[in-house]
Amino acid sequence: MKTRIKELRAKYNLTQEQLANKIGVRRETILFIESGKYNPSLKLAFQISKVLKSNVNEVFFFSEKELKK
Amino acid sequence: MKKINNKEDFLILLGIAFFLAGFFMIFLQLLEPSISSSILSFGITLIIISIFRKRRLKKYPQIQDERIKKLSMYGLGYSWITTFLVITIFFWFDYFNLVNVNTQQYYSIIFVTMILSAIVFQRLLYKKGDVE
Repeated sequence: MKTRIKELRAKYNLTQEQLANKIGVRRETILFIESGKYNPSLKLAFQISKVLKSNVNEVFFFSEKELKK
Repeated sequence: MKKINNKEDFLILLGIAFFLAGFFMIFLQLLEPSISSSILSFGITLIIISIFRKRRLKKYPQIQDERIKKLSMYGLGYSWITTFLVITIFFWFDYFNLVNVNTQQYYSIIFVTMILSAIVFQRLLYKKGDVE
């Protein structure tokens, strides 16, 4: 799964720590989500999207290849 | 008297109570040694887990982190399987008289394997990021 979290964080001038604190998770969790090593739950994906003022499908997306797997 | 701050402090005190109860039961020979040593082991386990939990809570106050919860559960699951395998190996070694293990040694093996493997698996998974 790919994300635009890093780009949107930069847009809203948020650090990983600040985003993590707003949602109530550890900074490492944001780091792993950004690097595509951890797939968040639907609830967490919506929480992140809400903080980044975007729709969930604008923040998280799969490539065609990943969807076919 | 100092007020008990949280759940972890209460659990540490409870662990100490179990530890002391088990210790005195062994010392005074009030019950079967296996029961007394189980109570003592339960106390030690409770103290260790509560201290780890307290340290972790101090470092990371956000305990609702879904990733950590998920990885902790997987870590415990892997630890359970590891302990099961170790016990099975020792059972067959004992059965074929390759190693003679008494009840107290079995307790110690379970105790050490469960705690150490849980810590190792959880640390590995935290580093890896996810189980997939």
